[in-house]
Amino acid sequence: MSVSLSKLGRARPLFFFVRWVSKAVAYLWGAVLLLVVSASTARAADTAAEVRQWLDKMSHSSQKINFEGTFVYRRGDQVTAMKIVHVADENGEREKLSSLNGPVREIIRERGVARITMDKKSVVIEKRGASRSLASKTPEQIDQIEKFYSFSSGGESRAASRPVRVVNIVPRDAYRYGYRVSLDQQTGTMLQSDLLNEEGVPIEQVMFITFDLLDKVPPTMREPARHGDPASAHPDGPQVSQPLPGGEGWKVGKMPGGFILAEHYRHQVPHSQAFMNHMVLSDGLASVSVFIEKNNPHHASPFVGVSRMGVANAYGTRINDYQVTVVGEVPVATVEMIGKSIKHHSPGAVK
Amino acid sequence: MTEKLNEKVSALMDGDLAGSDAQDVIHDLKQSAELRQCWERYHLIGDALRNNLPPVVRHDLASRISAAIEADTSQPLPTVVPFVSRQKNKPAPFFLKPLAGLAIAASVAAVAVVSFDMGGDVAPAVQTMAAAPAQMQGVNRLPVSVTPLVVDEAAAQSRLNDYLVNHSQYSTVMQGEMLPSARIVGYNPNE
Repeated sequence: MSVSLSKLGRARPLFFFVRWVSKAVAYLWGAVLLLVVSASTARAADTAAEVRQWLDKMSHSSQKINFEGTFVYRRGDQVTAMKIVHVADENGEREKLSSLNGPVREIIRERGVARITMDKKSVVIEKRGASRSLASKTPEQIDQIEKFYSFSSGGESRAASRPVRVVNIVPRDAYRYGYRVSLDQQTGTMLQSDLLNEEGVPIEQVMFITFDLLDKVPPTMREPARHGDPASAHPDGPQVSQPLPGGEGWKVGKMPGGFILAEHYRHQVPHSQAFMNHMVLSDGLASVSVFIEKNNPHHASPFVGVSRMGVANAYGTRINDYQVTVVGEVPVATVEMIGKSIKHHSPGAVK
Repeated sequence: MTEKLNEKVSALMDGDLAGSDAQDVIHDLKQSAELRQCWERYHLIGDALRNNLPPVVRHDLASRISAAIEADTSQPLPTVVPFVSRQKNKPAPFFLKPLAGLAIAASVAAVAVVSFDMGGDVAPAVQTMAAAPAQMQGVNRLPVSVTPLVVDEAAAQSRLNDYLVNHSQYSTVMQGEMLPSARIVGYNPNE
């Protein structure tokens, strides 16, 4: 086109004009492209921030609302239908969860104490140590979790006939499991949750069928449950557990990135005077327990190797006179790596 | 003819065939690869309708398993013993023991433990069923040498349970305590 224009002398101004226009268009294109690119990076950042907001909403939701619902719990080929009633008022959070099929099983929770009724027998249990809820984590701790898991939005969907936001928590390596959670758009409550193995296959699922918000605390949940004295429920008296400052000579030599020694306890072995060492390793989402116990020649048989137990994997090994067992809802590779790296520096530290 | 057979296969799948009718169809299934494919397809449709499809569907999985069984040079099969059945004579179920934790969860629930017959020259490469299909599909996994855990004694098993129960009290929770509760309630002693 420019060639034909240049041949026409009087058309030269037009030629320059056309060139100018095409240049301007090129610049304009560049500018538009730049805008689009920066907008999309901004949007990606928005999404990440948005997903974190959703996770935050999820972790705090149970502290604010009353609801009742029914859901199915599936692990492997086992499916159980359950009912849950949850209330939160000036007396704190209370929750009652019961099975709808099979034998009657029920759990009532309140302020770290749970009464478990199974097959007509009850036991009361206290939860120890600090809160391990996602809600109690600082933004810095969430940043740390994000180094080993990527959070992404799975878009909008529907669960229990309510609109939900799907959030994917995908591990960045093969040493931890992932999650896919569907959060109620209104309240942030987790209405569906899949625990995904290394191949992305769900190994455990929770799916709400019905979910109803309650304006008032239902009469059955109005009174805080009377649990009695938790210690009296233990036939052998309260369990002795003490936090430990150091490793008592035991060290985990190698663990997957992001894992740290989060807690360390010394528990009394049930029905015995002996103690066991308990180290809790965590990457912020997944946790792995290391139990170290002196072998008792009278009743103990060693566990050596790897075993899968539903959602958990276990690795057992013997070091000197000790049984070391690593347990966690993590892939086999993780419990194995940790188990194989455990060393003892000062023998005889654990009685 | 084929259509009628396909209908029968469908009826068998739905549990609507009984007695000799069912026997006949099963016999036909054994004979005809085409019919077996039809059986597979119907299951796939069913799974799709129930929104139950895995991320990857292998059409040849069944035939590959058959081939693998053919090629297998007769090693004794592991015996799968639900751990709970061994505990029947115990005075109290282990979840009532002091260690029993909030999330009997992983533990109890989880514990259909596999015990292996270690007599003779059994190679230690026996794996749980869950691990096997993934291997066959050639999915990339971290190199892991799976040696079966030797759990012969109820006492040893009980100790392992205590560990699992104890562990679950210290695990991170995403929201409230619903999942640990569900794990306890979802426990099936006959599993």
